Amino acid sequence: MTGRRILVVDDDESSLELLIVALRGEGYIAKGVSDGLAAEAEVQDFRPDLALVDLQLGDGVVDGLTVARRLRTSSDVPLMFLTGGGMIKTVRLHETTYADVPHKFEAGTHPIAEVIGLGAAIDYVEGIGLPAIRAHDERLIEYTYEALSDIEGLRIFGPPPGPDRSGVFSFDVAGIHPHDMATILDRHDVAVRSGHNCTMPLMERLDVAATTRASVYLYTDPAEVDRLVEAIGDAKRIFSV
Amino acid sequence: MGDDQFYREFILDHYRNPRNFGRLEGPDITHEEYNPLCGDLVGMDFRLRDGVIDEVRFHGRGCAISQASASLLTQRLHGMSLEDARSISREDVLGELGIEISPARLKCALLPLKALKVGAWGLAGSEHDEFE
Repeated sequence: MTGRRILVVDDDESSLELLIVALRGEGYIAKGVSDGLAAEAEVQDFRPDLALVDLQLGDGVVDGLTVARRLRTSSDVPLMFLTGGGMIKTVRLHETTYADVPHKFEAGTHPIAEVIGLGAAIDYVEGIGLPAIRAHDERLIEYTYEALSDIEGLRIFGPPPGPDRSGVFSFDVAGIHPHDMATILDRHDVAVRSGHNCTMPLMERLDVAATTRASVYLYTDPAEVDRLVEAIGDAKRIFSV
Repeated sequence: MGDDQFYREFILDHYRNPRNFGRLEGPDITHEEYNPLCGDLVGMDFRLRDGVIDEVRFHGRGCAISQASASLLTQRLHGMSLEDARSISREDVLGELGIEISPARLKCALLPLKALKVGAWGLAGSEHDEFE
């Protein structure tokens, strides 16, 4: 996240300065503006990855919500409101009365890195395009299903390739407990999940203690599926099944 | 890849041919431990004579590590005084398995020891956590 640009809009000079110092300390390129009316021009000029806007701008001209609405019409910069505090009703020497839920649980720093990260993730996915991702997924699902089907003693759970089949392959190899399978696959640098996969009633219905689960997606290629198949073969050799 | 070393032949042997496998009739101590995360189950039955473990059986199901560890533990316990058994540590169990157990598999390896300790002494709380 370092090197990302953050614009802070806050009419309280000391808050503004504190935030700028803190954000720069975290490696962000931060700039502050205390005048809500200037925020729009500053967004055009500074081109931030995120704008932090004080909801309670107190200059009497525009409030934070108005600034946000204006920014929305001219820019798609991710916005976050600084509401600060808000978690208490009163604090006295010997007692404190907290605000009602949910406010009392929502103090502290906003998830700045997460908002920027989510934006980057969406840009990444849109850059590739959902149809392209789906096409890649479908090819891999077919490839994986066929490769796993060829392994003797291996049972794939779920339907064959088609509209109801995702790239998540739960399977079981007779005579090898899924945790042993996962350990051996891990040693071939194949990462899977093993266990009841948070579906204990389904395990009971399928009459298995656990399953091994391998997933293919955008970042998987057929050579990695080949490695999975090879590693399963190694597990079968070790367990003599 | 070193798998042969991880799943050393004697571990696979204990998995395929578990020693002291089964149940005792009217045991002096019996206890089952279950790991809900993976479905591993290990139960231990003991018959005592003058404070010594005269007979021991285990039952259960699970991965090679948990079942081999249980089989090995019963061999160690047979003929041992219950007092001495109390001092068996997780290091003892892991040492006997003689393989590097990853954090994710520790529970598997230590489930039989937990069955012994909770069954014999009802260990709970912080001592219990040692096996988590």
